[in-house]
Amino acid sequence: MPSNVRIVLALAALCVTAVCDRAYAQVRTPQTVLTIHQGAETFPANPIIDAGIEEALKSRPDVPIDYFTEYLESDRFPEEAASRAFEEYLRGKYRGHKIDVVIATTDSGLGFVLDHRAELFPDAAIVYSGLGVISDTARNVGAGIAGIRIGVAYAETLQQALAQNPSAERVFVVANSVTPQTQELIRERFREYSSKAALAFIDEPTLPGLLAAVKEVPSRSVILYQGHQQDDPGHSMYADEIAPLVVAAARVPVYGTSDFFIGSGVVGGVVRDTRETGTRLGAIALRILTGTRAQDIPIEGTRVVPIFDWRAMQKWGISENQLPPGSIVQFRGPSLWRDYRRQVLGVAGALVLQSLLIAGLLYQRRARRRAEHASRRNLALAADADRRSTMSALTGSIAHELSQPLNAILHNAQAGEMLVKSNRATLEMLREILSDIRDADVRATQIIERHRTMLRNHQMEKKPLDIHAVVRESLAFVEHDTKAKQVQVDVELPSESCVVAGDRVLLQQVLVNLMMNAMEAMADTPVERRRVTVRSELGKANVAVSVRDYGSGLPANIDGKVFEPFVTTKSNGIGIGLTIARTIVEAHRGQLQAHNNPDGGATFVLTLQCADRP
Amino acid sequence: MSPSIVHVVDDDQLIQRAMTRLLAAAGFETRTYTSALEFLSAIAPDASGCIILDVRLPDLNGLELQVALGSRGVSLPIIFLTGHGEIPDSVRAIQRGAVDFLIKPVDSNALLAAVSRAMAQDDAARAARATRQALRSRYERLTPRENEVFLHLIAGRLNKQVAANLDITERTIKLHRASIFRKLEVGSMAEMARLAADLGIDPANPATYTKDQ
Repeated sequence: MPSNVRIVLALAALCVTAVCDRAYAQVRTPQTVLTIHQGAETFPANPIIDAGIEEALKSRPDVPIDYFTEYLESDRFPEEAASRAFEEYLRGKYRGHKIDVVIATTDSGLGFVLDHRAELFPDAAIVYSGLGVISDTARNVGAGIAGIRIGVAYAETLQQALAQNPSAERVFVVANSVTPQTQELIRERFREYSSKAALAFIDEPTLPGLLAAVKEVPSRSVILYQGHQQDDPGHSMYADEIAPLVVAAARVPVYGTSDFFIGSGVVGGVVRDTRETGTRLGAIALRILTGTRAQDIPIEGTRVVPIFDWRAMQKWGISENQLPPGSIVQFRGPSLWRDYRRQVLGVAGALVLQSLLIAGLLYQRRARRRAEHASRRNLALAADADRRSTMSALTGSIAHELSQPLNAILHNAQAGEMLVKSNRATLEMLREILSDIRDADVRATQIIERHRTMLRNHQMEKKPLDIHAVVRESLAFVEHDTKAKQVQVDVELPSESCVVAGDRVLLQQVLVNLMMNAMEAMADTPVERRRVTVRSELGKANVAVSVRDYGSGLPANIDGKVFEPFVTTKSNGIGIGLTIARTIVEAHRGQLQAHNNPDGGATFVLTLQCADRP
Repeated sequence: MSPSIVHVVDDDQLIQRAMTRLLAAAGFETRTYTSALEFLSAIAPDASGCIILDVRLPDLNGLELQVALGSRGVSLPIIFLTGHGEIPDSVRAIQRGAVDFLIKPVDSNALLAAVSRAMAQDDAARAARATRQALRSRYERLTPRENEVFLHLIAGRLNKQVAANLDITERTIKLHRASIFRKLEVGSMAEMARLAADLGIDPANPATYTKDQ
């Protein structure tokens, strides 16, 4: 026998291997994405935007991606030389690599990519974020260009600054890194506020110069910190490191135009979320990798959010109702307790009293709910346990049932082997043998699957199901047992289906339980009288499934108590099965009743409401 | 003489086909029946070979079938296929002459070996039956009077005692004895005694043997 089993197993293993090989062959080779950041790897925005890109790229584990990052440090080094060196470096490094998507996170990065596209990235689609506008014609060249237009909400931030500081007459813009075009843009955007406040730019090349100028800013002003580029050799500082110094030097509220400045002491600003820009870039790249043409992806603007620093608001006496709708307030401090201890205590005391009252009122309701919940859970546990014990009573028949298909497989395999050895096998014979082996295997699988569902822990879940199908499935469970006990089973089900809202596993449990009880009741009945009749009668709005036996019937002394726990006529039972069965049926809003038949034996009737009948 | 056939009685089509295929591959001729009743109505009393029976058949259980076969004069060896928990039934079956009981799932080689054994046993039994049949037809040639003498003789009585018992002369007894020896084709008293034993005749209680047994 073992040699035959091994042959069958080896055949099965071969099939599995073949399937796996095909599956592996379908896995695509990874595609390559390269992100060109601007500035050093430590430049504040870079790790954040990069994390966003990676997060988006990893959102589809089924799309394998090789992801690389490079840093164009044209801000710190002479632009042309840096660009040339960077180009040579990339050319050497990525020789032989096909790059599918290039992401440029800044306008300079995009400029570099477009300048060297033909040599470095001939096949790549380009995804960018920046202030620049790309024409549709340019977008259509090569593998296309897609991206996000970054807008800096200068005007919106300024509007907030002026609204929150109504006495301000002047606005000082700190922006030494900004190009003349941007300065013009800012002036343009500020024009509509020119009646309210005068605009001035602080454009000092050095940090000490900047801080001195900021100190000079008179009251009745606000400062709009756009950024300061400081590349004094040996004292290189990023704009977000300079922000707290500007705030410290200023005697007036400072507002910022980047999310990196929030937390450094600026009151706030209408800013974009840098991380979100990253995830959106990554998402666009992913769309291109999964088949969308870059030029078909519309170029969208970035979303800006008003974010404010609670501590700076306290310092400048700005209240929350001065903030625009949808504002995010960060860094809320614990000073409420310090400043308003008495009021807080009063309110808290009132709240505690109120809560106690509410708790008192809710107590009974909660207790009842908990009890209901516990009883539901207990029913599930008891039903699981009962089902398991029913199934364990059927374990013997599981083994018997399984032995049939297993034996069929074994004999077929052995016959096949003998025929092949003696050269008598025809293709037709082998085909029939294999087909029977497959049928037997399918049957074994069904047997195992059927019992497995019944052995699992189970939560009640009502679904529309045909009660007659459930009856037939339940009969399959006990079929082997009925044969062993020489019980004849008569099934009288109408041909039409009857849909009820029910839980398949639990209803099967009830029916199997009734059928097994019926068989056990006939243990001492002569073989020719051992009959179980399972029938279904359709009423107007309900269906009655009855299980009748010809056994000893319900003893007169327990007739009315048969569904009560621990009432049993079996020597080896504890009398919980029917209690659980009735509880299950009642959870289905149905009824389970029992009576003795005039001509002997007992009948159990399960009545359920029909769902709308077709 | 009818050919030796393995009669496979099983209601499971998959098993039935598998066993038939296995037996055919091993060179056995088979016939299949899906129920015990179908088999009972088809089997001839002089059938030869053996029976493979699943003890759980929907209509008759295997042991009942065995009893029914016995009452029809069918004495084929039976190989019972049983489940694991059915050993006591199987023991009963063995006591009534089943050659084997195999517990499912059954090893193919074990099944083939059991069938070979059953076939051999059936061959031997049929040879023995044929011999006995021949002996019986010789015995049936005896006249009632000769039979009386025969029963006395195999009981070990002397001619003189027999003559006294039957109230005839010793010489007549000798004539009867010569005729009995000729009809039974035996040459000595010892041979005759062995023939009586082979026919199952108990000389101390001759009534145990009836001719239509």
